[in-house]
Amino acid sequence: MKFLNILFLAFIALFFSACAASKGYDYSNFLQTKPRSILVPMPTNETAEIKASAAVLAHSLAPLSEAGYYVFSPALVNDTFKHNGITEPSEIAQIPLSKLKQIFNADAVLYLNVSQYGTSYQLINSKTAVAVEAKLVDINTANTLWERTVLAQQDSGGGSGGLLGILVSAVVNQIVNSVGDAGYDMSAQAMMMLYAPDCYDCLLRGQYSAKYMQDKQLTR
Amino acid sequence: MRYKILLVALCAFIFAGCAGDKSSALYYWDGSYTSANYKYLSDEYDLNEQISMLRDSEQRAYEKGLKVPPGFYAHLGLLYSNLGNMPQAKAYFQKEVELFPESKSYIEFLLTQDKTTKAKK
Repeated sequence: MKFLNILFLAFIALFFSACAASKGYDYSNFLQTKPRSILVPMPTNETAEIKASAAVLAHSLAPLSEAGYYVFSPALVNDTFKHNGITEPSEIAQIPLSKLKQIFNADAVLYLNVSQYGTSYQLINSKTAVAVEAKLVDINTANTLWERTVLAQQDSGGGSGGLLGILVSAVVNQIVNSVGDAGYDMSAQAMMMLYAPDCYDCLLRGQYSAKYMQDKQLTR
Repeated sequence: MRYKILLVALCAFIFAGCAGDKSSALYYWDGSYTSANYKYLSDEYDLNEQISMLRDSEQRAYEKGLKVPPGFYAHLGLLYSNLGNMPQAKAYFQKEVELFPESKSYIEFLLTQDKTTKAKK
């Protein structure tokens, strides 16, 4: 009887420990593949801003490389597609992974989609936002290795009081933003967020990183 | 005398801390590779301007003893090949492969494709 009780308790303990483990982000596919190199094709773009894809891709380079991955030269990759008659990001997304592997021999492909980009103007305020959906796919098995969505945004708060002051500041903001390309700057911030390490659903570091396999969400 | 030793030790400790912080960056970034890609991908660029910007950046990385980021040499190779300077293009493609062996098959694919297109001409 005592033995059965202990067995029962052991089962309960096992059951709950399994529950605790499954609460974390599922990195099992990722840890099986352990990608070294990542191909990032031109992001698909749902916004009206033509330059959104270029800005998001360019700003992916530093954080993704510093995370420890080999990232293929985006300009060279895009020209390779162009020379083969493929110019639209949506067409690139249709290319079979086996074909991409044949040409690039990457370990994984990172598909990005820009769903918001740039500054929208309300009557007395303007808001700059960049939103990107990312999906990292195993080039051999097509398994999803990692997925994350980020949104970076900033409101231009009206300065000192009075409706006129607020109106003026909205106008000034519009001018500044259109010259300085606020979307470009905001996409830098968005991409820093997207590839940041050590959080619940963060991208794990790659093999060039000194902290490879020491990500906080793994060692916890 | 004892204080002096302590002071030296403290200094060493502080600077060791600094060195630790710096080593966390794997590559040399000054924004030029990022902006070169942004401009190239949005079709607003000048080949010679990009080449001189990236070669300056390469020089600064060398002086600081840091590596250029992945894809940097490949991008320079692309710029030279667009100028029709194939020897320089190949030299940079080769540098990319040496620094990052992950690029080997892709660069080989590009070089053989280049040969076949030339043969067709």
